[in-house]
Amino acid sequence: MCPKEKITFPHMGNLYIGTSTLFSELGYEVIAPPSITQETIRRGSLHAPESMCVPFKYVLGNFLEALDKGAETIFMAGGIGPCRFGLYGHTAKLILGKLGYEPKFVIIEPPSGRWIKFSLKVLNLAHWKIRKIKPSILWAVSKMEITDWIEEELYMKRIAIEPKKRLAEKLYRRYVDRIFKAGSYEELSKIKNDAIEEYDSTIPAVPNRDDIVDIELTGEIFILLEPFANMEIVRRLGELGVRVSRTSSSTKWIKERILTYLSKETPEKSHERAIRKARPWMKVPFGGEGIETIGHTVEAAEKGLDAIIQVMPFSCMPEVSAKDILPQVAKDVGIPFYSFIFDEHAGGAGFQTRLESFVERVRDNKIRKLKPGKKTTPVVN
Amino acid sequence: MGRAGIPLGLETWTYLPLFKTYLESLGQTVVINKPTNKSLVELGSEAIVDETCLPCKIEAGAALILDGQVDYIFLPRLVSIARGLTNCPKMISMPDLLRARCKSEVIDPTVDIRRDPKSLLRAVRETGALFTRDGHKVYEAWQKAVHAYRCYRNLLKNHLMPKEAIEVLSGKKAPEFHPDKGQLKIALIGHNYNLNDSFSSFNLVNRLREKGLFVYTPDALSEHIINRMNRTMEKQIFWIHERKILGAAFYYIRRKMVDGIISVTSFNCGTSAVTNEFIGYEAEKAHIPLLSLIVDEHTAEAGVKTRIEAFANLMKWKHGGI
Repeated sequence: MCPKEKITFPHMGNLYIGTSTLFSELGYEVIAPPSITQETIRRGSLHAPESMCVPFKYVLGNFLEALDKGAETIFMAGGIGPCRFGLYGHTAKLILGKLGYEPKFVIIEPPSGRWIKFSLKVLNLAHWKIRKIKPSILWAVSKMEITDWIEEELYMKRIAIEPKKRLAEKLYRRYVDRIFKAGSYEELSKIKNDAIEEYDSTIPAVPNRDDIVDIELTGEIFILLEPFANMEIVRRLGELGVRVSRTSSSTKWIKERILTYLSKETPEKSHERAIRKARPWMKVPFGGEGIETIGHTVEAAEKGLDAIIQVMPFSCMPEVSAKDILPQVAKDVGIPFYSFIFDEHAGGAGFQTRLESFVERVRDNKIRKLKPGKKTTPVVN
Repeated sequence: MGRAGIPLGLETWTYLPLFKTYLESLGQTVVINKPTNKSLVELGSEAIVDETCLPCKIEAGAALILDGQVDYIFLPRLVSIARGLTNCPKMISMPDLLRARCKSEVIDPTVDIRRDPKSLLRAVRETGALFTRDGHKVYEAWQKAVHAYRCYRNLLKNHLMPKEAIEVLSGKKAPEFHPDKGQLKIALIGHNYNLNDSFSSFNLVNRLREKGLFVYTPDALSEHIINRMNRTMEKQIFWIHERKILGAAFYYIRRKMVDGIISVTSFNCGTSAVTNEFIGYEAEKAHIPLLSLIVDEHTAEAGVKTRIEAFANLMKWKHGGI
């Protein structure tokens, strides 16, 4: 029997759970890059073009570290523009070639009419195990679905109540490990039940107190999902007494953009709804998650959330345009908003100060709205 | 009879004769703002988001200067002008960003060939319908506009700069061609809205010509050369301008037509960050010197001047001239 092909892929939050599962089901030896550290971004930004956006630098760092671990094939998603993401794979290939690495690149792009080329590429990637493709994808997605559910519904919502001991975070890490190792659907549903029970017994749900504010995170998907890249904004907000939610997750993205090809139902997808909501301010989508950011701001105001925070990498083209119109949108729909721009620098103190002052303002606003005339006090934890 | 304002920036540099002839044939008066100066850039950078690039700020400034003087601002939204090609996100969103700021109406016929091949026709018809009910008149206006655009392109292919070509087209002066006298040749690679804007490129073309160099620009190449060069790439570049720039750079480098390359990029330009990597690699393989200039709203002329002089001397020295 020939040795298994060693495949690797870039990190993005919890996406590795899905991709690792998928490729080991398809008969690859998965060499996941080590989780993102300061070293990853240092190596990435050393070789990447300097004005490239920060996700590319992380991706390149991931590739370099994975290739040093012995990976031979690189899997990467592609695109057809106008976002720069569509050329990540090919730019990385050029740069790695200059550095003397010669990995095999498998870049899967949206078919955009060329279905035969697309299917051949996918079938080659799957080693022509046609019957295995759909079940493996569904299995990988169901794993990620549970991870995202635990992260969004349990960890992000309950971190606000007991931040000092970081109990919520520890529990969450343990469950991610269990999901990663899980081998059957029954095990997954057991993990879900366990998680609910354990969270309920140790960290009860956050009550609707006046001083607990709801803030939604929106913006560029990589920065939104990768805790190292967004300087753990979820944890920092949670420690300030904020119930955090976010507008997109990798599961949602895969389900709405890829799995719709596998199922026949087509309910309105969240990004389509966002585009519809953004129409008064922006008529056409302009790439990336730009128009979604605007639409989600409108939706957050309709849901009655207290504030919205846009996160984006420095020099991200769609998000810059969105940032330009967001003050107008936020004023029209009446929701406070803040933009955070991230690059490879890691100065936590300045970030923390700005987060604190923003959250204090939002909390002040909320209390003043609920109890007019009441003197507000700095709060909590 | 309405007064149409066309801001001089971004796509206008490529399509000005087309827009102008079309609107004028439909009985409109076209107002174009004066060339970029410092106060326009200041106005633009105050109005629009800080993180965007210089050409976008110039576009915003130009639109705001025109705002009071005209009835409406004409700013077509070119999402995609051919199958598989798209524009930069900042340009796609520009009409909406300006609509939030301008008091006058912004007319933005949208062309998105990738999603709908008939959208160009529809954009032409809908724009025409705003001014006249006579379909035949719209058709004639469009024919005239396309003719003017073809003449413009022909002048550009003969190494005229857009400013000169526009003057020639409006009949102000006879064309002055720049003959190839066997002098040193340089390729000026960059977005046409940077190279032609006297503010953002510090009049680079004229400066180089004064030094006795022959200047090639991406505009001087025909569409099929650009396509042929791009087909050698494993992945097709999907941005309209970047495709042109990359194709031109590859052509000049591979044909060994030039002795040096100057690439002009605006700071924070997202698309150039990718393509400059490919161009740099190609130039390195062919041993052609490359100078990369990054421009923003600063106006320190001396630094650019020094670097251009040094680069020109390097080229001459490499050629055994000094």
